[in-house]
Amino acid sequence: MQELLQDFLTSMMLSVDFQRILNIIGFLAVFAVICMGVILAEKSKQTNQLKQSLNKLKKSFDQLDEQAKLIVKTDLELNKTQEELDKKITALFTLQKISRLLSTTLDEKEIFRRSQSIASELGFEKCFIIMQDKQKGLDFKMSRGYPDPELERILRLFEHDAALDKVTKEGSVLSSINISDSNRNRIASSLGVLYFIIAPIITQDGIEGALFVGNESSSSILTEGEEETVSILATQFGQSLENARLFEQVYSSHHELEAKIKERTKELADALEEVKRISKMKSDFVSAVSHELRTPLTSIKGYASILIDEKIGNIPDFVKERLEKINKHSDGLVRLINDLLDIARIESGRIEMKFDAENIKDIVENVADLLSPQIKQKQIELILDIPDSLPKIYIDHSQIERVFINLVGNALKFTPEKGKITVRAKEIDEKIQIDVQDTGIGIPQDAKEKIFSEFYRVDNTINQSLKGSGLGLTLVKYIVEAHQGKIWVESQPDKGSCFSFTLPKA
Amino acid sequence: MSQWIGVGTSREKDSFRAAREAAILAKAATKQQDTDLVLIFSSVHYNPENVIKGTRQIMPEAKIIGCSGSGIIMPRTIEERGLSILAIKSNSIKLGLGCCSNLNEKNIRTAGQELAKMSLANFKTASRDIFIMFSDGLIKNSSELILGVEDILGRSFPLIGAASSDNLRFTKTYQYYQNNAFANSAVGILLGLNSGFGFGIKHGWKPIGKPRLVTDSEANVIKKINNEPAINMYEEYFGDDITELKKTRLSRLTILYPIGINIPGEDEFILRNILETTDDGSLICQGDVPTGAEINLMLGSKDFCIQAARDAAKEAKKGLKDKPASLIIIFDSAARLKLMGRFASSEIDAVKEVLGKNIPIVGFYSYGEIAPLKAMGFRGTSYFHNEAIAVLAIG
Repeated sequence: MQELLQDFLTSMMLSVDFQRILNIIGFLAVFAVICMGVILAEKSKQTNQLKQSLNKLKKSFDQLDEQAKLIVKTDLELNKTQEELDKKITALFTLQKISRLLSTTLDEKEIFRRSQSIASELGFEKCFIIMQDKQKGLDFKMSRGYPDPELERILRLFEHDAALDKVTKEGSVLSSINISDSNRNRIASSLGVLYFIIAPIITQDGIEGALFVGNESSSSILTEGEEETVSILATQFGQSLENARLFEQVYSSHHELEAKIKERTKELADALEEVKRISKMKSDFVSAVSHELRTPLTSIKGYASILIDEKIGNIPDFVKERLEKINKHSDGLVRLINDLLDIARIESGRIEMKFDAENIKDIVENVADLLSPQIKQKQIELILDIPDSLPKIYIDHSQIERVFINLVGNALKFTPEKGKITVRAKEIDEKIQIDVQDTGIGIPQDAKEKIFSEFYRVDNTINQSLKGSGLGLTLVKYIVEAHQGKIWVESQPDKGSCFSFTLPKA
Repeated sequence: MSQWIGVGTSREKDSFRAAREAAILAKAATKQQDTDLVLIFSSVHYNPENVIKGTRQIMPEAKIIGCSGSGIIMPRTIEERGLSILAIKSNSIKLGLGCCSNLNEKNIRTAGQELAKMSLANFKTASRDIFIMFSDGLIKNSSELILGVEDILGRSFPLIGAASSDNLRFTKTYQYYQNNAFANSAVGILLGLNSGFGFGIKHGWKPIGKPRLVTDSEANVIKKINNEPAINMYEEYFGDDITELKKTRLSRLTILYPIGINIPGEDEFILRNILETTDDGSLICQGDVPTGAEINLMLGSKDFCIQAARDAAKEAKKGLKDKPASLIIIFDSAARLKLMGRFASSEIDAVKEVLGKNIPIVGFYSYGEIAPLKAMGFRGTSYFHNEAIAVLAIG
């Protein structure tokens, strides 16, 4: 290149003729060609580079597309999972809903009626339940999406198709996804569906029937999740049926029991009425007899008195003595009859009580005065432990006086000489409790309950020597109870007894 | 200018009683003696004839239009099994009803023209605002039907609607028109509102992987993508799962991975559901895909869906300008209901957040949504969308 330029300059310097001009042009042409060559070489290098970049770009574009494919696949997988998940969640909701629906009734017919919603709730177009009926054999209990003539045909299918035995005999779930193609096509077309699930209904008695759901459209493909759901539902269905039956049993036995109780109660009530009637008869009888006895007794006593008083002439002493015995025994008899009459009256509610506020101390002191001869005679120490501050009692004076006479009298009777009798009164809540305690012979344990019964007398030496009616404590009990009170006794043989009773405060 | 709007719903199982109950509630909500227009959306569980009878008993004079949906959007809930009735009484609204039945036996574009002509003839007066249409979601070239309607009403006339659906059974969907319950039909109503309206349509799906070129297609059938059988694209992405997918009907899962057509100037791709595949590996879409279109596989998520619902509501609100909405009509894709699952109400809640909480709402989950594109180049031309949520707010 440099040489050329040297020549060019030399020739320029040597001459400026035509030859030179041609030479210059020649030179320029050669120069241009060379430049062009250089540029072309450069261009082709660039093109190669561009091609390489384009290839790189294409490669990364393809790589990106590969990644896109991966994304699509992942997304497809995600969508499938989500679809399955959605179905499961929906199924769970539905299961819960149907379970609640089925478990809130205990009526078998109602369970079948409610089960009609199974199909629509689970997104199936058709469903039915067939059950083994003792009389009819296989029978439809519920169906949806099938006209009646179809049902007959389906029954025959269930009776004769060997594949369906898996459900009704072996208790497995049969569905369009777990069955051979030929079986699936046959059953699906017989049942007029594309997809189906048939699950056994099992109770304690074994396989009793089957629940079928199916779809005739292809909008939703069956999944294992759905198969599971329907199977759970069929189990739930069996349990609901069992519950309903158990309830029916319990219900009917409960009814039987109730009827028996009613019958027994009526019998008892009748018996009670009878007892009451007899008791009244007894009271009436006692009352009538007592009245009848009292009149002649009054006469006897009257005549005896006339004779004793010698109003109709003198009588010998030994006769008088006998007459006084008649008089004395007549008095005893009158007392007995009076007691009997009082008991009968109180028992039948015929006695009229005259309630009034009374001072308990006055009554007891009065009784003590009345009994003072016997007290003195036996040298008994009588202690009255009745505070002055004690509230008044609301009672019938004469009746309560009889109570004290009886109780203190009994104490006197069974307490040996120089013994002690204490009459104590105290306030307990709304009541006044009175204790009559003695240091007498006491009451045997086994007699404690009986002493308040009519005509009962404790078997002891005192009772053998002293006469008594056996009505005193009975009367006392009746009077106390007529005052809404209670009476009881505590006793230890040879140490003494304590009769306690309560009376209302005024 | 007065307008009374009432919505009544029912979940009653008997078709007649359900329709009657919803109609009574809707009528009571309008507090009017009679009703001008009734929109019925019912799930496919109902007998459509009895639905009409039940509605007619309460509203003998009203013009009736509606269709079946894969789920019914009610003011407070979304019901897979239910029925919703919208009743409108207005002294300013102008109505023109049209219908075209037996679509399978007709040239679909001509059928669209027929539908528009009939509505126009019934409409009479000149000031028309919007055409609401419901077509059978099982017809395979809904885009052609829309073209037919646009042939008559104009390319830029707002067309909003949805394709009736049947809980992804793909067997039979219903369209209500006056005293008839059709299947395989399209029904529509031309409205002169006087009260203003706004609409928005969004889907929220995002493109994933590299873009591909549709090298051979015919209307709604994509034959070749990048000069290979179209199904290869799904095979590439799904790998082994494709056999399972084919076996269990591709449409069930591909609704979660639709094809997106890149539309220059639009924020979002237009989505296409795959309805079926053919033995030669073609994909039959719900709506057309032109040869030369740049497409992508699309991926959705719950969050994208909720955001799309919010954005669609915002668009609708923009259209209303400052006016508050007095009625919200939602056409939401059945695919979105499937994707959202138990959280479906979040989309509707997002719409309520934007447009107001106590506004009457009706709507249903469809097999396709019809609404105009916003980009300037498209001059407000309506298209058939898949997997989108369309919100129409009426002032």
